[in-house]
Amino acid sequence: MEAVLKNLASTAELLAVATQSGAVEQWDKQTLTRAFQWARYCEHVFNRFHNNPATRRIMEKQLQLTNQSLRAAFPGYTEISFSDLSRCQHLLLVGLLNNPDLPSSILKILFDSPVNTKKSEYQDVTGFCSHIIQCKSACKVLSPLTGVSAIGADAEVQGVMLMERLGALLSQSGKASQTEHFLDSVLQGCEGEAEHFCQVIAAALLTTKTSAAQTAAQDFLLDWLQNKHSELQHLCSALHTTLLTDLAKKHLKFRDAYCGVLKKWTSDMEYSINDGEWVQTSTNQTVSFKRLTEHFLALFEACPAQREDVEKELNALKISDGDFDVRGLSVWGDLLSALNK
Amino acid sequence: MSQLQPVIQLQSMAEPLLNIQEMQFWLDKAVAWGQADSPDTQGDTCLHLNRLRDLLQQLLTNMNNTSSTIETMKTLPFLGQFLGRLCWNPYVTADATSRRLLFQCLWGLYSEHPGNAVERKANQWIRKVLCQLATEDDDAAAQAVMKHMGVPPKEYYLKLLRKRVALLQENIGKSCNSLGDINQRCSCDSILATSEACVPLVTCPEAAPLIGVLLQQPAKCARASLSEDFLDALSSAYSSQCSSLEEQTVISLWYHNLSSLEEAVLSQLEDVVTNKGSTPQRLEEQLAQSLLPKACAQHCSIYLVVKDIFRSILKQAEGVEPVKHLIQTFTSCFLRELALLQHQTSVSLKALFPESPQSLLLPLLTLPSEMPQEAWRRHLNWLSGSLQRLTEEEEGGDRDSSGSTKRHHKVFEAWFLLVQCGHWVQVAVQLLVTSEPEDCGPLLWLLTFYHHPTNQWHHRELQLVVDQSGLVDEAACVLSSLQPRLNEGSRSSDDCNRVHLRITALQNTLIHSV
Repeated sequence: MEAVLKNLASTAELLAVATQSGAVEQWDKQTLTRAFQWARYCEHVFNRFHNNPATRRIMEKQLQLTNQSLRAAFPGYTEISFSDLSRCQHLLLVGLLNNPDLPSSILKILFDSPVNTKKSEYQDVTGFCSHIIQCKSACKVLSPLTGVSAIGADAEVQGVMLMERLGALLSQSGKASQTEHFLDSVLQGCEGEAEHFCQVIAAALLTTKTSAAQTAAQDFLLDWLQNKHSELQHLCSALHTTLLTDLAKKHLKFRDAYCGVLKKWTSDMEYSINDGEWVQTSTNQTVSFKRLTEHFLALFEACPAQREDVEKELNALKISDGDFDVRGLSVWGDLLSALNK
Repeated sequence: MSQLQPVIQLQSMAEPLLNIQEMQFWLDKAVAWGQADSPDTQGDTCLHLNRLRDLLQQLLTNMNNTSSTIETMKTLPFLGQFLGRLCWNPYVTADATSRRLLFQCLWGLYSEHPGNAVERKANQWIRKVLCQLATEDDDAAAQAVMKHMGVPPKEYYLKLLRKRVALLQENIGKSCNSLGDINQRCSCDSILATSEACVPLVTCPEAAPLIGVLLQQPAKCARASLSEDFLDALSSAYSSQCSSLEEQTVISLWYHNLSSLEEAVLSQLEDVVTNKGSTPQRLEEQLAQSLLPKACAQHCSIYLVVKDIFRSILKQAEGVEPVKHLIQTFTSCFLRELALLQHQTSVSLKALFPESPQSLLLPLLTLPSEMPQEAWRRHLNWLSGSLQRLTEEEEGGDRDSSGSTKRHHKVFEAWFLLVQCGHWVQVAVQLLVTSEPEDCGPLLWLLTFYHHPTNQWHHRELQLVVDQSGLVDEAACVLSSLQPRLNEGSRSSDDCNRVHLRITALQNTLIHSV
């Protein structure tokens, strides 16, 4: 353990030097290779211990100490946390490329043609950046071809990664709060891209690999989602109906949650005499009456068993509203008639 | 040395650098590609990728000739803008060669020791562009998710690329049911677009499965055509060994693209002509590695094309021995591959050798090893006789010009078949050495026919004088190879002596006649 801690500290120092020190002027190919090897080592350490709270805490403490001394040595030093270690190579690269003292010879090595064209995992520093650029460009070249689907390929890949992370967290830590914290932080981080994150969640819930860890992770995600009302509502309004019905078909919990959202939207509606239609009273008009009806119909088509139960409920609510058959008096009644047209 | 330098400088200045019009054309193109993202711009970029690469190479050469960045910028003022725009074009950066050239051009503008503000600024700009290319993302959503999930960008993009490739592979795998109705839309429309998009990806190893599927799709639908640019790009990447394709992909490439097949065959021919010292085993290995025999075994059409190429080479230069050896080795490799496949496909000999005289097919294709040694002489005599009759028909009918082309053709095809089945010629030489002078007639006739099918200057009647170079070479080869074999063989000493004497006599004749 002591050796690992020492290595972590050294790599943090290495990162600081790479990012901010003029010492990089002396770097040659060997130094560069070694630097990336250490960064890779840290990534392995992260993967190995991030689910182990006790070890994690020790490592975080060590990094705190190292941060302190580095802050003193380098003005404007950006601290490195334990979770940063999962992307250590990327941090090293960003640091190096932004360091104006980095010699052009090192740059040339990074942007040279990659040595191994085979799919081997051999990690040669030569062409490290070229390879990244090739992958990114190839992704862009192929993206218009994958056509318009409800979930983009990128959301799908991110969904799978989310599942993997969740699965790992749940299987080892056992503490639900940690996993919840993780999801919360991801949600917060994607605040600007809420719709995209909805797609990622949907993709995660639709991944079909059936393992016990996977099922547990999906279950956890559903529970978490149910507690995040605004996120759930956003998801139901942002995603395509087919996607929602796929989710409803696959997960009973989601079906119930979805139904709940639809009912809540219905109850929030008021009849507008000017428009001759039911409209949402809330400030963000997410769904129209017509759309709401479409949602219900799509759900019934995908899950026929739901229809009877929901209609019974709606009927009960209509009765409680006075059981009128006149339009505009009870949203439940109008909804029922719209559904049965 | 100092006297030479000014001359060189003058020369490079006298050479016209890229003219302004061309540069403007390319600059406009780069701007257009950057602005629109439609399928048309995609197609346009892919169309111009080849020429763009040549342009970049030219620019690079020019830059290497100029002494400083300032000078380069003077002669090509829009160069920075042009290169900058290309950096953000994924079609240019996805392709290994154009990316390499682009970066090399950027380095051409970089000054190790900047002497003024312009050069310093250029350096800064270059560093910034490279940094952005490698570390930044225009997909903010993906970046946010990755950062908070702690996923390294390199891992993410690799996975995303593999996912996109897998999705596209699936799409292509779905067969279409339009049954050739051109008016009906089907999923095959995407095949052309996909193949075009793969033009810059022929050197990308992760895209190889997709390329394989594109090439190997059964293509029953009229709409499922592959872009010509794609096939050309693939072909040149393969021949310059930038891309390691799977066997079936290469064979499918040849099936779709005639020029790539031709190139493969011609490169083998070039090889044998330039490397005359290669052994028969080496030749066999090389041919097997080239995948040509396998491809021919799988597709009769490929075999016929390859044969056509051989045929036209031989028509131009009938005496080139290395070529004939190649054809012979090739045919035996091909027949072996065919035998391996024979339980799956049943192609008739007639389909494979449509122009050869049918009566000679089986006799020539049968290997000497498939026949008892005692039968060889009889077999060869028969072969010699048949061929002789064929040539006599040709010569006899010379006065009657109407059928002469057809007859010439027949003789040529017979000879071509003999070249392909050159193992019998080798057997003939072997027997010549071990036979009595009286039995030599048909064998010598056969050899002379093999080396000189056209009867303009030589007589194919009984000859004992070996003054033709081909025959000399052949005999010398066989003789020297027989010597050690005799020494280790288990024949009777009488036989050995007789053969030894015969060999020595023949050797003397050879030495004295050349």
